[in-house]
Amino acid sequence: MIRRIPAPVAAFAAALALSLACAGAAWAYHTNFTGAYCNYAAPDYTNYFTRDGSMTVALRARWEGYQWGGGCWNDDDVDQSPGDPVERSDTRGEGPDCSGFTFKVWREDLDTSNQGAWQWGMLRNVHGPYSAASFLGGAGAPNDTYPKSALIRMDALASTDHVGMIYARNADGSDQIIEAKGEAYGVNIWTRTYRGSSAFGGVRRVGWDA
Amino acid sequence: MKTPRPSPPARRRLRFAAAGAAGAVAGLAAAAVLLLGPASGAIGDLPSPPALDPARIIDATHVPPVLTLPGEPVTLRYDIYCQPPAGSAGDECDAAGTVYVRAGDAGAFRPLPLALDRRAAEGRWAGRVPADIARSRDGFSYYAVLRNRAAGTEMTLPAGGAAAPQRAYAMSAPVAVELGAHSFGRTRAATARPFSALWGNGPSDAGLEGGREAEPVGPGSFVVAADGTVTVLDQVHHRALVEAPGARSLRDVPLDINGTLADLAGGGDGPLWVLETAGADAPLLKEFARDGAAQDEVPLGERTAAQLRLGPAGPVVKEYPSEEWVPAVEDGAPLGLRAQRRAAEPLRAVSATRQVAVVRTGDEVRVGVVGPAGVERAWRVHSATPMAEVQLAEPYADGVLLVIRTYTDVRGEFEVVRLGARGLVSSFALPAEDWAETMPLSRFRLSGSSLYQLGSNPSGVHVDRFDLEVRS
Repeated sequence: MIRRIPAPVAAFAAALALSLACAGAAWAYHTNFTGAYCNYAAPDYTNYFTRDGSMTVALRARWEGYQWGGGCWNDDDVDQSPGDPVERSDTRGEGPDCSGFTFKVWREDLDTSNQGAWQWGMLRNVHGPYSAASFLGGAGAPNDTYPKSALIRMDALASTDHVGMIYARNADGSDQIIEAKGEAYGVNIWTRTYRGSSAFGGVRRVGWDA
Repeated sequence: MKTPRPSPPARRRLRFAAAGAAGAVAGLAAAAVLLLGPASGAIGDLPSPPALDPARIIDATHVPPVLTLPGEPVTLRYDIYCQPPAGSAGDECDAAGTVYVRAGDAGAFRPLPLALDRRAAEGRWAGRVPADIARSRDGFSYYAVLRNRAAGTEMTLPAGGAAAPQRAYAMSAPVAVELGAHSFGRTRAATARPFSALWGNGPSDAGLEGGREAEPVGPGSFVVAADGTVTVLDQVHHRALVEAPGARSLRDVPLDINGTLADLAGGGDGPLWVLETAGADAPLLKEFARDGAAQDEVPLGERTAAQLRLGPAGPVVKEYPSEEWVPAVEDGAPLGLRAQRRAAEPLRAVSATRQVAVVRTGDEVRVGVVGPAGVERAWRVHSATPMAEVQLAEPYADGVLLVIRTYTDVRGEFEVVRLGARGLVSSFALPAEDWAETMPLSRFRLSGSSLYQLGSNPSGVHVDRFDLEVRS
């Protein structure tokens, strides 16, 4: 004999299943770091910006997390959203992705026609309008393609998939790169050989004062 | 007007619908509890944002000269980074520094204050080495103490200070080598392909990490044993893949590693060493028995670990910002951080008494074999095409074998350069084969008279062998 499932039970089960499915696995993992800590405060305009100053902006993100499509972090040297599902902008984790990191460290404007420099707070949740590929192409008034052999610190090496900024040269000809590498990596300084790779091109932020 | 009363079947349908709606609401509520509960808990578990300590950030970079020419003036340059002082109009660190320098390896260090070179785009804190020291036939050694004046914090570079200073060696009569302009596309074919694996998750596949806005990352490193057995670090699958000459299939060795980009050394009859460069505990050196059983773990002291090699006395790690080779074990026992700092060496030992020095500066690569009495043999290699990193510099026959990346803005290849007592013995080009990322300086290994290259393409990863005694 087949017993009919009571309507309330069936509806309950269906709604529960549908809700869980719609929410997806990401929600169950994420820490909602951006919801808890990040803000949308206006940036401060600065009429003097230097490679040294942008290095300091970058160093405050070191050892923080990586969030695909993100751009908000604190400065406690801990990834507060480890193990988020990758390539999901809805996981609300801590940290920038590679292009969001470059945008914020280079202190750029959301208006791509503006070369001006803006100091964004660490906890300001902003990614900016550029992808790695658009940095590679020198998109936007503040960005320009540049010969790789002439790149110096705080210039960037970009591919269609990734962008990182030069932190220092090494004696063996490799570079130290400061970058938001990926969910398992976070933000840090690593030795890389992007400069000689045909996948990467040179990019320079326009308008440094020093 | 009175509303008509529903018939009994209609009342049953209404009750059914109402019960269903109540169930659905309960289901949604339950889903919300399930989903928001853990999320809310996670929010509650997050620590408050820390009170920022501006003194905490201090870092510095420096490119050591490594090899100098007779009479060549030497300026030591540093960049120093820290938080600008509160209320400062600018956004630069209020820094200062002193380099302590001496001729050769012994004697008292002489202090040399660093001055800010405002015209320089990098290496802005500079100090010119006194001529009498720069001209020393023994070269010179030095270390720097760099300060954040506003916060009163300082750092020593290299970290071992006077106990493990940086070293510049004097080349007395380097042999000049002209490579001319590189001809792209004229690369040498491999002698053999002793290892290959497709990308995938099967028993004999190699793991690939990547996706949108991420470079593809493949196996990070490899080693070649004396019998030609190739071991590839398949870190994505937490294992090593081993292919012995003549074997019909790959053998895998499970490794307890975190799965991020890592370097590999050892193998053969000895243990495997894995250098983890990313993750919460990195940089960290791990030792595994031949069957993959975990042995020791050695925490490393500096922020960046770039290379792992097996030296005459055990594994050594190239660390930054000191830019020195740091021994991780001594007599089989892990070294503590303080002991590591004090035992660091500017050059990598290639035998009990010899080291190889290499530096790329502008359009020139300088390379020297350094023995107990100083530089025994040196070369200056010029190229009309830009040169990037030196991937490999190893003693070979009566000279050195170099692998240098040469590039333009749109192309890149490797140039294999064999140097002998009189200069260039031979050279040939190899394709970049760098579709997937590896550890930056672990694409080549020299074993006997064969050079091995770790390469990849969209299908998979491979190791190619190039026999050096065969004319190209």
